[in-house]
Amino acid sequence: MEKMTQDQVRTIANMLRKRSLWMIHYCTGCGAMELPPTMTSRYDMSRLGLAPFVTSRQADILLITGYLNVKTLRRVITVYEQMLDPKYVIGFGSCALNGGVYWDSYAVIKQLDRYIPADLYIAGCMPRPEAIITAFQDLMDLIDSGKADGYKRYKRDLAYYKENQRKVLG
Amino acid sequence: MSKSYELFIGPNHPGIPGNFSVKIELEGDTVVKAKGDPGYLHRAFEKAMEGRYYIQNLALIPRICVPEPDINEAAYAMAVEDLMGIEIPERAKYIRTIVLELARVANLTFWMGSFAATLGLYTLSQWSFGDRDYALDLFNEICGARVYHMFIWPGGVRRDLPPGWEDRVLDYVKYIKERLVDYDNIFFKNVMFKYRTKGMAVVTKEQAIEWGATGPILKAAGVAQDVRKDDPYAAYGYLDFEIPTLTDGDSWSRAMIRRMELDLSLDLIEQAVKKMPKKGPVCAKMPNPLKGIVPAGETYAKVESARGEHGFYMVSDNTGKPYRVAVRGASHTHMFTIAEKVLIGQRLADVSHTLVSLDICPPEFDR
Amino acid sequence: MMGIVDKIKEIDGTKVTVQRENRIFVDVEKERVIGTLYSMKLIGFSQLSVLSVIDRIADNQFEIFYVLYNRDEKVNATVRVWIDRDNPVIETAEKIYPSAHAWEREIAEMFGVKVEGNEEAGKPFILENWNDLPPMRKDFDSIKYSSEHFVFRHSEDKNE
Repeated sequence: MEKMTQDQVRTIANMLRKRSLWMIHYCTGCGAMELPPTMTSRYDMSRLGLAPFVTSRQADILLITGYLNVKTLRRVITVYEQMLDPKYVIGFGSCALNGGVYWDSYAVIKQLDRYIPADLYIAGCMPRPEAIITAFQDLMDLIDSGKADGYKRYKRDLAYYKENQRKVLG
Repeated sequence: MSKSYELFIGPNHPGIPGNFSVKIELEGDTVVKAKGDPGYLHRAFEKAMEGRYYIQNLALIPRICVPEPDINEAAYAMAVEDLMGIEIPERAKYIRTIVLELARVANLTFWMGSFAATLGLYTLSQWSFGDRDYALDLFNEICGARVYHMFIWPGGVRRDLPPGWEDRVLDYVKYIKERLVDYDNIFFKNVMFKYRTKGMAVVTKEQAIEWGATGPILKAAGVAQDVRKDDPYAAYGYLDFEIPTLTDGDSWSRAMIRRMELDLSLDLIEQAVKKMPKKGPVCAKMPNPLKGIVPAGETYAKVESARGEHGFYMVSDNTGKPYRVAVRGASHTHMFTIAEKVLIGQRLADVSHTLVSLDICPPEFDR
Repeated sequence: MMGIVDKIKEIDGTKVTVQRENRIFVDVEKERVIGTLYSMKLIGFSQLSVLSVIDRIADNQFEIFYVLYNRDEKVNATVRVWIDRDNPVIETAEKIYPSAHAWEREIAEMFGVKVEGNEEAGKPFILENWNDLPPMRKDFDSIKYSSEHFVFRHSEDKNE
């Protein structure tokens, strides 16, 4: 049998990867309120092969559910760095995107992707379970086409992310 | 060598109610010291509200307590109405009552799911989160949002109910009543539930009063204190109900009190729908909200949330923006005064269900 | 109803305002606040609902208020005390109302009020590594702080 090229291996890996994504169970903000309905009987995200998981070391997806304040950002970065590659970040709700209604708050960061790379954003406050499910499907497409490369960007631009992190965390 | 060791429960922990951390000190697996570490959800609401007009604050306030946002809207609206001296229309009072009680039903079913999940029974959480969702559908009909409604506002409610909504509420009440039989069979009559919770995390009557408990903790200890009865707001003054109490003050009693409160809420919804005037205005005549309309003064408005007394202390200086708003969440006292004391002596495995049985809601005290 | 108001009036040094039925405001001097709270508890105000601060920057004062609740009379009373803003020191009420402990930690952090007798007041509570003015003071500008520390997203950042 011919040897497979690196690209072919990666394609197959991505195809398999997108079918079993585990989401870390970390409710960073109020958007976590729409996750229980998404997980349980009515919307049931397990049918997409997704499941909540407790430890950062076995999880693939980090959901930033809403606003991130500076105290949580420190923990989120730790959790993100503990997760193994490949890992994906979904910014959830307007607050992760641009601060949302907390635009003038001294405690809430305004742009998630300055501190950790986000692969996908869901707009709205708060996004409905349908939007969350669609986002997961979009993420699968991105993984399949190899465009969900946040973890690679984090390694490549580490200096940029670290500088921004230091600026808020001190 | 030290005998005890420290352990962080949270913020990233499935057994913790929200983004919150408890630092516990253990000897073996018995807790000898517990300390709450809040602030992970701090968004500076009280500061932000000082910089916004009264009407703009409507978008902020529901976000103070995520599982039950309507209590914030009601308390805020009541504070503003009190300062302005406005009496809201009869129909608005009943609509508020129905919305608040429906939110309480949604919150209590959500709470049941989380409580059962911390005891290891995930069936009930699958059921109750699903059933809660039908209540959110009803909210969706009146305001277009599932979680943050911004429906109750100073002067009454934002718009009239859509046609046939009352009937759909009654259908939902009927549905939940049927489902509660199943809930009882799988959970509240379950022997394992009794073994795990009887005699756990006791807050006696004297302790509850001394520590300043409100809501289910106080009712489970035998004090029938409830803002709905003691200082009636909305249409609670016109309805006929009794506050449920139990005497033991343990984890089991608190769970059963919440179960009884669910019955009470369903009953109140039915009464309110029956007694509600079928026609009439739903909002009092209000002046232009962008001008300085709220006269100078101070007031304290309180409502009964599913966790206890929820209050807004509002100071106005007639500039169009509130001078100071202080929010009282029931969980503040329940966590930092009560939970830190009752966790001592518990086993490690019981920490998370004790926290849920006290119904700690972190966004309420982080604000 | 008037019974409880008369009882409060009997406490030394209190100035009582009845706003409406079951909302009473009690103004006291700084030296008498703990004594007043103790007397209030004796006449049935057994629950502390809120303890917080209002920054009266125009008068250069802090107003500290304690919202109390009397379960038997179903009355809310607010004890208000004004203290100097430049030297904000207040005695702890945690011996009278245990739930005051956490509220005092909060006001110590958010307003920079020193609470004598409360060991934990002044330690980090909600904020972490905070090194600016206490944020709830009126002279702390939240928008200025945010624009210095965080970068806002503007529409032209799209290509960044």
